[in-house]
Amino acid sequence: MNSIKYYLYYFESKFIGYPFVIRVTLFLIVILVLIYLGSMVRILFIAKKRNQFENRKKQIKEEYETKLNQVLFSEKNLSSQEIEKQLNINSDPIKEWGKSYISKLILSLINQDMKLNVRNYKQTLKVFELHAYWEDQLRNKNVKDEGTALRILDDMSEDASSNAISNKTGSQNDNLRKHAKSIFMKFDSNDAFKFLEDDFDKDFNSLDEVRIHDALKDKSKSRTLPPLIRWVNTAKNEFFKSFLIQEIGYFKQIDCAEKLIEIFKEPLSNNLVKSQIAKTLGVMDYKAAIPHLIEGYESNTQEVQESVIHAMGSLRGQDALAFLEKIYHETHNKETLIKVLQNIYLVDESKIVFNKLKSTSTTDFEKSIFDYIDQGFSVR
Amino acid sequence: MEGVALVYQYLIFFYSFLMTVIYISLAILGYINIVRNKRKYTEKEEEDLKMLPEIAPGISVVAPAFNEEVIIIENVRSLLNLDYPNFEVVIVNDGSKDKTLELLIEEFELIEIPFPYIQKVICQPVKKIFRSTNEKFKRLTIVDKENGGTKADAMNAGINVAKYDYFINTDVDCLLARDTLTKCILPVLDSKRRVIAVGATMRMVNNCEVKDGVITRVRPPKAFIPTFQETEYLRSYLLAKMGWSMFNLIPNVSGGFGLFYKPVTIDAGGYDPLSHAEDMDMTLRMVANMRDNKQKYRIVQIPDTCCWTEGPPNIKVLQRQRSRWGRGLLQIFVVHRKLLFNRKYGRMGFWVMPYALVFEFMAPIIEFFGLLFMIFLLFTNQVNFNTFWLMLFFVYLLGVTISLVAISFDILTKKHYNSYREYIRLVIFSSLEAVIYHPLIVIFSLNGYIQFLTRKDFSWGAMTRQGFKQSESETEILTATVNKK
Repeated sequence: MNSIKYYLYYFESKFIGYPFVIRVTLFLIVILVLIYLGSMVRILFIAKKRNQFENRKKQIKEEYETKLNQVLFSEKNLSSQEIEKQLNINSDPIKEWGKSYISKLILSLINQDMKLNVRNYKQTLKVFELHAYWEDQLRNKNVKDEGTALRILDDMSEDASSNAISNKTGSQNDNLRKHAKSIFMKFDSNDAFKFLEDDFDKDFNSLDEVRIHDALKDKSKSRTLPPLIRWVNTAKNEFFKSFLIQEIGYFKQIDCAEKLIEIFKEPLSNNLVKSQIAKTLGVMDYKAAIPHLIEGYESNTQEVQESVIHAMGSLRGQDALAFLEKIYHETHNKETLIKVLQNIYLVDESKIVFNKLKSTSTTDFEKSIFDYIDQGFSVR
Repeated sequence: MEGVALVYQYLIFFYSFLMTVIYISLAILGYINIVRNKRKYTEKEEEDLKMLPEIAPGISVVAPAFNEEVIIIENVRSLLNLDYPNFEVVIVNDGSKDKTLELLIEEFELIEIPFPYIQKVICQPVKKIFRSTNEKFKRLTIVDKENGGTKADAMNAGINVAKYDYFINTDVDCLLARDTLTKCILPVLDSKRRVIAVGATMRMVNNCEVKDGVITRVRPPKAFIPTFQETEYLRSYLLAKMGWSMFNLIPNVSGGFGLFYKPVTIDAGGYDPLSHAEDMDMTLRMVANMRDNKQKYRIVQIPDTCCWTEGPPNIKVLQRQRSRWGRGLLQIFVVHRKLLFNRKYGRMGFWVMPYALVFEFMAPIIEFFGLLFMIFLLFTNQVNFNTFWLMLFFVYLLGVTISLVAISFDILTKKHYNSYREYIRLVIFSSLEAVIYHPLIVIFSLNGYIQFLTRKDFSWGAMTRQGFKQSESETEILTATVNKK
């Protein structure tokens, strides 16, 4: 100990004796050496963890894959005791770390193109106590583990406790919080849509749209969704409002159409919202919207106008065709011109108007549009 | 004179000190960003997006081709096999003199179509546009145009034809990973601000096994030059750009691969055919456009390797590449000088451009004059050799450490090579880089600056195509020398 102290004092006195530049250089060299050694150690650590992961994965797969296939895709409904016996759980209980690997193995197996026995699948999850394990991981206070737990619970899709998930809906971590909210929507049977109040989240973005859309699709399989117009009315975030309107169209909530028309006609409505309303009314094939869409066309922005044109192509009818023909002659924007003609072609079943316009086209550009559409190369 | 020498030495030391602090900071920020990225975007998010084509944004993959008959078919097949629900592939045949177009027409059953072409950004005239009669290749569009002399011109034609709001800018000699589009679009979706560009890691395809346009085995390159370049790319993407990305300070999304938001690209005027660094030029103009219009934006870097490109196989090709990059970099500072230290352009003008000027553009000049100064000190017996060796070790250690950190980040992101021994090859080469590779980079960069200043007629130079090494069951290796103009 004394000799270590001696050398430390020696190096310290040597160090203090050097010029400032040399001291700074030596300090930086020490930092770099530490970083270099730290990186080496990190690489070795990552390699070790990965090897351990692969070995454990292989071990679990070898032990359980065949047995799980037999259980999950069995035509016969098995009881939990039968599954335990078949998987040999009582005599060789699985370790805690194994539950993570088993979960991923089961999820990979159920994605195969074979008929899953859902009852056996649910029983298998119970037998391994996987829901309890992952709900426990949610209380881990480690963002990485919590994120993994949410994803696994989402993929498992069965009987996840919305209570366990709702604890994460107030997380400080944006990604975790929003992910938890979308999964809560999927699993909660009491108040699943509560997060659609207050614009879903202060950090709402397009990735949340994907997650909410997935949750709504899942929810709609068991029961009809409530009218989403309710949350359109209360939404303050225009992007969220526009997204909900898009979902109204996707789920064909025709009852919301009149309210959407009201919003469309409001002078202070946001252009993004109006544009989406036009598209949604077209998707829902709500023909009563045609006069309202035509009425405000001139005073709207190009974005809204193009959505109206697109909607006409879906709504069809003589009024839509007449309107499209009229704006064909008034449009100067080349891209809009292409869209108008694409929709005329869709609406004009007899192709009389289309061919009439084609015969009177004067520029090479216009002729190319007609040929492009007529020969079937155009996709709206 | 002594005073001048002393001041110069202190300046050089201060420069190295700053560079060390900056790189260590970037490494820390880069690490945080990589870990954050890995936690947020997993296979589940990618699968969810692929399962919802009704909500996944469309992406156009635009790739110019000039005299690429050796690899065009394999590359296009590879692009058509990307795993994403809504995308198209637009190949721009930039006046090829070989059989590029003929091969495409035959292989993909193409016919000329009447296309209402709108020139949103300027480029050389488009002659014909082709689509396939085969439903299998319905995503493919070929644009045949007059040669514009540069990739930028060809890209502009591709942008004019692309139908989606997002497009990938890539080269025909690049192979994209199948999950490239999902990986690139996720950070775009996961942002409240408009993401105008996304960059990703590129690495060398040299010595990788490729079958039917898909990389089946990733290996570090065998040849010296591409091996050095592999580590250089890892430093640039995983360390520097991932670090800069934390504060929305990425100066450049690589021309070899990047995702861009088309409306902003068009508003900014598209790619500049006169630029020798059209990628950095485009990035800066997009940023300037957003700032001029007072719109918030983000440029994102993802750590995943999405693109494999053919590295220069020998010193001659490396010289052409680096001289062009040198010309391009100097041109950037001439053309975009209004951004320098200009608060109006926010962090890009006040921090990133000055950083690029001092630590990237000036670096070869400082190193060259430093070497001359060193020789002068040697001849005048003014060298304190203890200090000299200490400083040399410090600078060498900086390079080697940063390279090792970048390699560790690569392993953290994903283990691309089958064996960790292959990573040791990169580590060993990084220890030789300062002696073998880096001096060449300095010389060729300076050559590029001189070329730009003396305004010689430039050509892109020849790229010797090796073709892709086939997997073991296929033994044919194609070699052709193609002149790019």
